[in-house]
Amino acid sequence: MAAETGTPTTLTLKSNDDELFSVAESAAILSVTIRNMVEDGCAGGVIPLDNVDGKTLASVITYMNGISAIPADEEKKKSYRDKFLSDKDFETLADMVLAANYLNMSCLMDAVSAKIAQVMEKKSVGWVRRKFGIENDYTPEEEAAVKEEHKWTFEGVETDDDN
Amino acid sequence: MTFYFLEITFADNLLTLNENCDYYYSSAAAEKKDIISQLPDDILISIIAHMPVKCAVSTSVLSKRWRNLHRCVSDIAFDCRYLLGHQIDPYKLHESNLIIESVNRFLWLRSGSKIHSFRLSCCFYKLSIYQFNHCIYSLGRLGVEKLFLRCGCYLGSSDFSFSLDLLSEIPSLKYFELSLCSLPPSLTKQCNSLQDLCLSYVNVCPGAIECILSKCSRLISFRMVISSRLSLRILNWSSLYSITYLNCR
Repeated sequence: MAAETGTPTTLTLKSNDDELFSVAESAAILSVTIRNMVEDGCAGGVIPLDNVDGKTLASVITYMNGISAIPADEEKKKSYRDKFLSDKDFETLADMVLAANYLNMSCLMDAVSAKIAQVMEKKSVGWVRRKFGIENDYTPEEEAAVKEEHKWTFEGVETDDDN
Repeated sequence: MTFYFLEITFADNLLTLNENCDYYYSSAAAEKKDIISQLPDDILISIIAHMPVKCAVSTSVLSKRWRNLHRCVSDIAFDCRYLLGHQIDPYKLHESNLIIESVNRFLWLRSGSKIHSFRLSCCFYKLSIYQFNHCIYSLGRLGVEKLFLRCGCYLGSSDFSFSLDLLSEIPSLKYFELSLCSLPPSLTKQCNSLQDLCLSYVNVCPGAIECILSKCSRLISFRMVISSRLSLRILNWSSLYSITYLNCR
């Protein structure tokens, strides 16, 4: 906030594994969490981000810099987001959605959610369980009942096998 | 099943193509779980909200935690092309009824959880009015505020007539967009919630506009996208702030 005239203000962010990152304030305040800190005047030293690891934070900062360099053009921003997420694997996406949630960045959160949804919707239940680390806590009878329910809901319009 | 294991092989490189990978999965899952289980419900709901409805519902099979998450998605969009994987063949009469039956079963599954906006895009042809009305009653019970009904795939593809009387069955409805069907003048009941109405490529029968304007007392915006000129005597309607005609010729 209290910028020295002429030079853009830089913030220092610290990941939970003690990596330090410099980022322009104008890009960092895409995160509502960071913006609030800046506005409250507690962004003077190092900003610790306890829920984000260095690898994920580096990625988020790349995104912050990239998207804030694009002028107000929703089409271009969208294509940047698509390109940015296109080479990320599922684990990275899961880390990023958590980071986006913690940093309160709704545009990134929305884009990553959409991307994860896109990955999930083409996969089997077993695949999603393994990738998400979801423990199947249904009894076989319960699981059959839930399956039956969703099958029945779309009976007649079933075109693929969702095993 | 082998197909799915193959995909993981590409992703992780560590896996062998072995159907009995329980050991690997349990250790990998335990490792991964620390991160994944932190995902709060609202993130999971945000993910589910980006899926087509059918996929969203099928996530309920994953585990007990996921059982009812899809019921929290408040904006629902049904598109017959996603449900059937192709456009409806107008000569196959049963399909639009199948869609509406599925929609009704879905809405039944949603009983008790509010839906904010509902979008249905389907080529209605020889549609069962009973099933359609049932759908509207359900939407009324679920507190829908925004409704988008696209009744045809292209101009003239649908033989569907929307009965204006159904509007009074959704007492929470504020916004209604109707396209590609006919609209006969059938409004006999008062509709006191609707504020914003948009008709696009609707074959508006004589008298229908007058019906809407006399019965929808809260209407403040009325837009029409039409392809033919209508004789409209509606400009003396006092509470209506905005009337827009687009593409009028």
